[in-house]
Amino acid sequence: MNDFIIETNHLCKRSGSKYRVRNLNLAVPAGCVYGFLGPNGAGKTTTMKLLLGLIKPDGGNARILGSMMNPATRFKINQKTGSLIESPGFYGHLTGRENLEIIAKYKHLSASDIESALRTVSLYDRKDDKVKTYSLGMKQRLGIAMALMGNPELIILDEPTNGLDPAGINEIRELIKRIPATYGCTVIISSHLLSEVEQIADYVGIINKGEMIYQGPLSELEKGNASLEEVFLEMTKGV
Amino acid sequence: MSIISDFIIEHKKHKRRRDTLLLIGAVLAEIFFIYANNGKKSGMEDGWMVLFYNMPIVNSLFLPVVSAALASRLMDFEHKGDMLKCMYTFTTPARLFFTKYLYGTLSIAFLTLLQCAGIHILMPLLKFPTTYDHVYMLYHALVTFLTAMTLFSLQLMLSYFIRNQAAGVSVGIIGSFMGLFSAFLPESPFQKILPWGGFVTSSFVQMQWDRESGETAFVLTGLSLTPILIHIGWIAILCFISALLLKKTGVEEAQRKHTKTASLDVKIHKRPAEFMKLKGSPAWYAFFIVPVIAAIIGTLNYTANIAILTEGWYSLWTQHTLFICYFFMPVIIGIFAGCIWRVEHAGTNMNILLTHERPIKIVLGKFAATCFVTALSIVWIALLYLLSGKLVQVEGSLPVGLPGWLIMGMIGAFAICAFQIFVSLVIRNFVIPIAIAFIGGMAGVGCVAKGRYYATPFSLFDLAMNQRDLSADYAKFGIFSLLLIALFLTFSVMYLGRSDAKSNL
Repeated sequence: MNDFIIETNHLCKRSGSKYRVRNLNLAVPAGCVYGFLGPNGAGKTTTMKLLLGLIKPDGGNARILGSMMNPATRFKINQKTGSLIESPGFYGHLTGRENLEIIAKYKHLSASDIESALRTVSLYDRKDDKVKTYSLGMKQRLGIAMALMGNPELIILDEPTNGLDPAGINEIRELIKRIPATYGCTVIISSHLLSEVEQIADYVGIINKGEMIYQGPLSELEKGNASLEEVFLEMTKGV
Repeated sequence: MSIISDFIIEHKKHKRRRDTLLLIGAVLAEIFFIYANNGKKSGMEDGWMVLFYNMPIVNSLFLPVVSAALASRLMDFEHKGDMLKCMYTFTTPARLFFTKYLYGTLSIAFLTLLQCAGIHILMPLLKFPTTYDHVYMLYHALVTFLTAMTLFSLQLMLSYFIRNQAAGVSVGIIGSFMGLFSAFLPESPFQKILPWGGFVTSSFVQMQWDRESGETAFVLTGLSLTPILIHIGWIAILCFISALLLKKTGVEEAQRKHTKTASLDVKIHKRPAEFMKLKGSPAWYAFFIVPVIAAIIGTLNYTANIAILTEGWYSLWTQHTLFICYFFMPVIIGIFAGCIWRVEHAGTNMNILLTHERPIKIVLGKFAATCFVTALSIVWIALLYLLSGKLVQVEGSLPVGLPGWLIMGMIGAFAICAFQIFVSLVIRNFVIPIAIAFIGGMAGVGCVAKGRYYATPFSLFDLAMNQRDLSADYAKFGIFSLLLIALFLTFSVMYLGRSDAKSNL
């Protein structure tokens, strides 16, 4: 069973009496790109926050990179992860370079890591501008750079192509496709853009109203001539 | 009629904001403060004058902060959700501003009424006779309202045009000190014109202190029209400036500044990350500017009262540290701790921080940065003290205990740092923790007055700086300080480790 980088066991998160995530059993195999799909408000972001230990589960548990996630192990596990959750976080009064420098300090990385991250997301020319002057897409790129820095073993990206222009979407898509082969790491990416996931994911998990309704290889889901979009709409219809 | 419908919309926006609680809380705090400080005068025949003497002083301390908080609460949600760009498509900036102004005016009228009711309740509570000319109450209400409106006009302008609400709140706090100082200033046109001094300068009761017998008496000085005219003038000027600014305002993009120098090299600096995050932040200025103000006022006060202050260098020390201990240090530490957490509470930054660093290291980093600046500030206070002593040629020798007071003062101040680090971590609002620091400083005064020196970080600091020659027990002081520091840091680490990360989108 150690082939799974992420394994959750009946993971639950409530807000009040309502379940945001309920009995979720996620299994992400090593070295794949895992597409995490669901309509708006299905619980994708909540799940990803649970995987990073940013919020505490109300039931069940999560095993990440071979260790059980809890407040004591959270930091150790997260040293090996890179993530972009919700919208990107940043210190607006600092430049892009300074923002990455802060991350580099936390992760004990070198100046060359900052430089390569800046080049990877094509922000090098704007590195000395304050982040608050960045456009939405540039902030998103900065967030992706923070997640990729230092080649983590597991990369968690929550709707990474939000706010990017078509060229940017394409760029990031190609980048994510390359990651597992180049760095040997696993990527879990959430999205509601099905065509995007269709092009890059090996595995998919579909979540609706906090519960997993399908999990497995993308190829199996697309048996026959149905596109992912048709399957997805059928599955999430009226559930 | 549109003004009424605009007002109803404004009122709807404040749903669940509990703005009235702020006003009621402020008045209750004022009433309690006066009640607690005047218990001894219970039953005094001229008691009503005691109330009308004290209320303006307490007002000049509280109301600048309250009007800053009120103005900031009227505006912060518009800035936070970037609502202005949306609002300007529905309404004009001027209409939006003056609707908020009206909302604030009614709030301040309500506050004034509450305060008059409070005074009315205090009289029987303190067994003061209530047979006095009610024109005094009316006059008190009028000048309180007008002065508070002057301050509110200024604060709303700041909160409206400056996105960062820390600016307005800082002006409010500085204003509160200015108001308090104006009570000590000699009578002059400057004192009368100072907006924050209005509460005190319009007061119609004076306290006379008989030096020989040590007794105090209260006398009426008569009602004057001048403060009313001055403050109506202020309100008119401030509204006029706001109207001018509103004509030019629009939703502007943050300016993109091109760096003039050649592109900087990518490298890792030696500076700790905590200090990097504060780059360009004015948070630490107060630590160096405020002691200068305190030193000037302290020295002036010393030279003016040299007949009573006979203990040379020690007297000068008490004058220098009086306001530092009670009000300044807690508040400036509060502002710094607020700034240092503010960057993390913004947006989704807490996600970044918590995935990259252990809670214990986060808390210790923030604590160390705050302590570092605080320690520097205390050294600065000592330098200013020595310098002003030389300048006014104080006779005799320096107090032998001075180095000890400074070191203990640092440790005591570190306890305040730990407390504020915890408060600003848990309360994500910027203003409330500073208000807590402000109240904490006064609670410290109360604790010292009641002999409970070791109960709060604030009274520990006061004790350490030897403000009142209390001859502290070093061992006990050390144990209690370290205990409080450990306690609040542990709370912070536990809170950060156990609670869910919150985003502020």
